[in-house]
Amino acid sequence: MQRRILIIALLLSIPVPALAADEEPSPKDHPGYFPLEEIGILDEEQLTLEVNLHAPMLKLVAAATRKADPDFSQLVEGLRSVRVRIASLEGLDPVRVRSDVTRAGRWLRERGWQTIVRTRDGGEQIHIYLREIDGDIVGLTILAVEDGGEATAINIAGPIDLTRLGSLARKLDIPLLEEAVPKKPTESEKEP
Amino acid sequence: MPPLDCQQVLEHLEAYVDGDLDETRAAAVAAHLEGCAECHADRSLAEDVRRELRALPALDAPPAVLREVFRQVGEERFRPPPFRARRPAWTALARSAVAASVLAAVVAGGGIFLSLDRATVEPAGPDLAQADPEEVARATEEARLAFAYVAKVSRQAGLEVREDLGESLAAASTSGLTRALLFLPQPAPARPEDGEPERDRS
Amino acid sequence: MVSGFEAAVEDHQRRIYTFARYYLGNQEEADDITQEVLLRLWRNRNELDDEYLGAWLLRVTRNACYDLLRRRRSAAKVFSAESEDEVAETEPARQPGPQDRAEASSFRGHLRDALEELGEPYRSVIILREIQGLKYQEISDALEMPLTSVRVNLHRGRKKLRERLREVYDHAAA
Repeated sequence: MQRRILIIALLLSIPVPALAADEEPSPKDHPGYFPLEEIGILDEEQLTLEVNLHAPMLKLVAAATRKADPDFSQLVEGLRSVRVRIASLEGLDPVRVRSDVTRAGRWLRERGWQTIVRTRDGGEQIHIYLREIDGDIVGLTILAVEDGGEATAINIAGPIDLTRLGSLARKLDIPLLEEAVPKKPTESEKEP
Repeated sequence: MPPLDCQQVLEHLEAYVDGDLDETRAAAVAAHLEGCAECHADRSLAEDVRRELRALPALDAPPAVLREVFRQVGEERFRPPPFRARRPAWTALARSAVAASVLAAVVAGGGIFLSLDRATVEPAGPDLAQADPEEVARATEEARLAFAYVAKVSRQAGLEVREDLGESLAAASTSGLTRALLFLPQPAPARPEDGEPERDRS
Repeated sequence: MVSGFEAAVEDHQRRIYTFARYYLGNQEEADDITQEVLLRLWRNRNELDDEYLGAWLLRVTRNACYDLLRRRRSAAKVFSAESEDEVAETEPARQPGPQDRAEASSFRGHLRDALEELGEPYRSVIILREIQGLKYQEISDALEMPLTSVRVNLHRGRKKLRERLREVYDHAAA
């Protein structure tokens, strides 16, 4: 199965935060930060999509969208980082995949993250974690894994306004997603 | 069924030897074998192969192997496996990209955040006017994409994406899993992991 | 609980080791694979369903063996120009021992050599069915292969063995 590789401007979005990071606190120190790149199954080689946005660029995004989309702008405004990794799991041992997901969950829980959702439906697992400090949500981590399909990991660090996130999610351009990602091929027939 | 030739018979020999052929075909093969010495020899060989394979013994793992397994297991019980520590490969790449962009920014007379001799903290507010509009547009698209994925996965997890998704998540986080069930349309049985409390179904 | 794990090891070690040994034709490698698989069993013990444990273990074993063959093959490539044949069709790597020498010129010896030259999925299916006596359904579960394919691959695999042995004997007779 060929997937269109959509590696989004990794180099372009990094330079600003990487240097500014000398003066700004490292995004990794933020309590809502989760190192997606350390999950084995999200190895560089298997990535089909990557987003790495950090505070300085996010502030620019917020500024740029302030008039046209104030809700989006406000949601993004205070965020420290927005990161996504999507990787193909084709050919990977599902046991290893499950093991990586379990370890990620353990890592998060050891650091005070709470599990909000953990579902398993057939070959698909979805885990959603929140990091909360003094009543504020400062981190959101999502791991979604489909046996033999792909793994999606999202980490958003920074003060997250969940209500705004919710209303945004509701009206978000899902077509945007469908354009960006190739249609999933039909499931191969299951064996009797 | 017309009589089979040697090639056809050889194709079916293993199935024949296993008794997996239908009656008609089995009879046709048998008929050929009766009259063909070559194929008859092959049939003996096929039977020998099967018999010899089945005679091969099962083998036990050497005790030393099992001892080593238990030894390591004993150690690991008290030391959970560490997260795989890896430096993100892009860091090195990014630094060189930074250097290049610093130069470019200065040369272009832009240099919002950057100067040659030291990293400057960004000014109090980002200077949108001086930022590369293409970069910002791309980043905006990426940010939207990220949130679109959040929405997509939330839906897949059975979370209804409503105005109060945020409220529901917030409620779930502060008051435990019980209230999380308020917005899950069906119960989602999840396997408990080490130390993870079982979902409260009350 | 370690005792639960010990029981699982007791129940499954023979199946794992037997498969690895005949697949790789090499005791040291079979030892390594067996150890690796059992340690993975330990690390994944909370995630695994008892019902599917057997199938899982076989699958993991087989994949580990296959990977090892692939690495062995890549190493061999460095030293010789080989054609792009299927990975599993490699030179057999058996260490000769006294029993082996006696076997070597025997039918059994030639058969084992031929087995180690056999590609996938035939090698796995033959070992599981003919040597280890698994039922078709068990093989189907372990290899995630449709039932009908199990039978077909079994026959094809044995046919290849037969043809190879025929070659060997014809050559010897010549």
